[in-house]
Amino acid sequence: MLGVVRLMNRTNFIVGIVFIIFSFFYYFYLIPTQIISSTAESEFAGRIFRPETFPQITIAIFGLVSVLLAGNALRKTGTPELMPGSSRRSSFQALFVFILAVVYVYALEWFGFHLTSPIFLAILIIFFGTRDWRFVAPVALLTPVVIERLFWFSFKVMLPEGELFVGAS
Amino acid sequence: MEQVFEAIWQAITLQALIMVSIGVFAGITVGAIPGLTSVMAIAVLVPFSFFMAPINGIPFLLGIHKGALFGGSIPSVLINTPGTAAAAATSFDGYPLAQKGEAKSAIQMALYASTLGDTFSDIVLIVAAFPLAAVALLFGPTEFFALMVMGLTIISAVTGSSVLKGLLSMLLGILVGLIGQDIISGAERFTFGIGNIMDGVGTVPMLIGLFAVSEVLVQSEKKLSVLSNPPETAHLKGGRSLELKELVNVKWTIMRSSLIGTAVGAIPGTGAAIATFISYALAKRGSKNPEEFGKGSYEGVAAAEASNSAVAGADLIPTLAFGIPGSASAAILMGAFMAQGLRPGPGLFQEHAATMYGIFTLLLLGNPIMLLQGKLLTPLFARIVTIRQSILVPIILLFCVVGGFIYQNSIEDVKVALVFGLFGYALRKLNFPLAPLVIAYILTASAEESMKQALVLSDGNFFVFLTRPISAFFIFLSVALLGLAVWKRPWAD
Repeated sequence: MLGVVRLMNRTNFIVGIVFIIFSFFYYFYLIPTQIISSTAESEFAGRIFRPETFPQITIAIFGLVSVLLAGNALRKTGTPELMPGSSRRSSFQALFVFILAVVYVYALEWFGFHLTSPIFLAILIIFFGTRDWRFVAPVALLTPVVIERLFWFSFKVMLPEGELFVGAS
Repeated sequence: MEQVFEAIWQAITLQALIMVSIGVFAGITVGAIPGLTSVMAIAVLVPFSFFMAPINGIPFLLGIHKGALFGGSIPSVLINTPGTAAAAATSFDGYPLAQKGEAKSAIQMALYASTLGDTFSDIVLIVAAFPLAAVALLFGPTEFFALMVMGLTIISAVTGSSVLKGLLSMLLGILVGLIGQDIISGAERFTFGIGNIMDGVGTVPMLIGLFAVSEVLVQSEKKLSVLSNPPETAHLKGGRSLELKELVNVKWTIMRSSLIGTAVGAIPGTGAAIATFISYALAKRGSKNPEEFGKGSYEGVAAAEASNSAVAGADLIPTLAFGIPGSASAAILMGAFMAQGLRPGPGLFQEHAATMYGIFTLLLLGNPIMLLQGKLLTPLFARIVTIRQSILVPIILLFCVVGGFIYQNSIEDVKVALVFGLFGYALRKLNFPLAPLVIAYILTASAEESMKQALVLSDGNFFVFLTRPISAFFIFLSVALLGLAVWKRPWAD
């Protein structure tokens, strides 16, 4: 496992509390407002199983287990759970990769696969510490071309062309 | 019987064999990359199977599953970096053998043991699935709902480090599975007006996110020096080939480990790691040379690998016979079956018997294909171990994006994959197992439908699950197993 292994009872307690709050929010707000039926309410009258029944049962059990998680975290007895730790550096690296992936996906919509993918790959490879252009350039340039050709010739799938270039090809 | 042979012959086409070969090759390749797992490989490559007929697409995925389990032994032996907990036992003896200059023979032992273990479990799957499915056909909705409750309870109780977190993960899976249209009343649930999820969260984007994107994020946390430098390759070259005598010497170990792997693998939620460590421990106890274990014993490598690979076929037994996946990879395969119009469960063998005979035949043929590829291409796979992760990880992320997109030719699905990637990453950091989540998500629709049908048939009597003997047995077993798990290991590692 990465990073330092540490005891995480405090984290479990916080997660338990967050889940309990989520359970209340789900039961009292999401279920009443986010279950939309075109069937008249009168038709459900007397029915034991309505569209909200299963979600209600599920979230009630979820809330109960969350209480147990939070309660268990307060107990000092038993074998403590070991959890993978993260340093600030490692969390930053993961966060950077995720943000870059989000930016790439939004850029795909506008600029297409051909233009954005080599840039995306090059930035990531360099970010991960490989600065030698003999590795970076061929991988960043050739991989998108190979993938695009593979999908086109094998499955006749066209990868995003980008809003700016639609019809240009 | 004539129909069976006809179905088998129709299945064995050049195209199907090529797809199995590509699947095995892709599986070994991904397995050989340190840190990457078969679950991730299947999740990323599932969308490819949608462009193929079921008889080609499903064996392609099963080939990946097979290949990745053997492929995981390569980095374990060469660089002492097991990709999974199950492969860790292989490194106990594989790496010391590599240090002695016997990497080649150690990998060959892993290959033979994997192939034999996998073949054994495939045969058990084929023999057991049809009769079990026939028994399951006798079940009504009440029994099915109770069976699903039992399956989910076992998975939640035994997967991961904490029973409570397993249960919460399972319940989160149900909550995700509830998004979309209610199949009975037609009501929209938790869609927030987003058109893309009116029919529910897409299975493939969710799987890619949970297993592949989150894995990329976890790999991204490594030190840059680890990511950018190729691993130590001192043990890659040279070495002798395994002698037939050495393989014969471990025949009983391979048989016993295959049996353990198959038996443990057939129990939902247990997985390869448990089977492998039980087999390894028993092999050591039963060995004439127990002192060699941990210092470079071929018997140790054989025990770990036979057992590890024997899980591959066995965890499909509950998946195909009852429609209850026993592991994350089985859940993904179940999703692929469903996307191909083959709904796992007792009806599968009635409605698609010919296709299933064909798939089983190709599943078996995947084993000699793996053996051949392992024999011929091991030097190539060994080179894969040495590729810098700084190059592999970005390429895998690119495949995640492309895989999410080709599911429905939609960028929105890629966004869903990224959201689930972050969600999966957070759950992994908090030590929540992902398998119960994905299995519950896959089962939610069937579970709700069965529950509703059972209640309709019993005039709304919730006690129906306790008054019918088979369902009462399943419910009792669920409660007992859960109680035992909580009592024995509330926070066990």
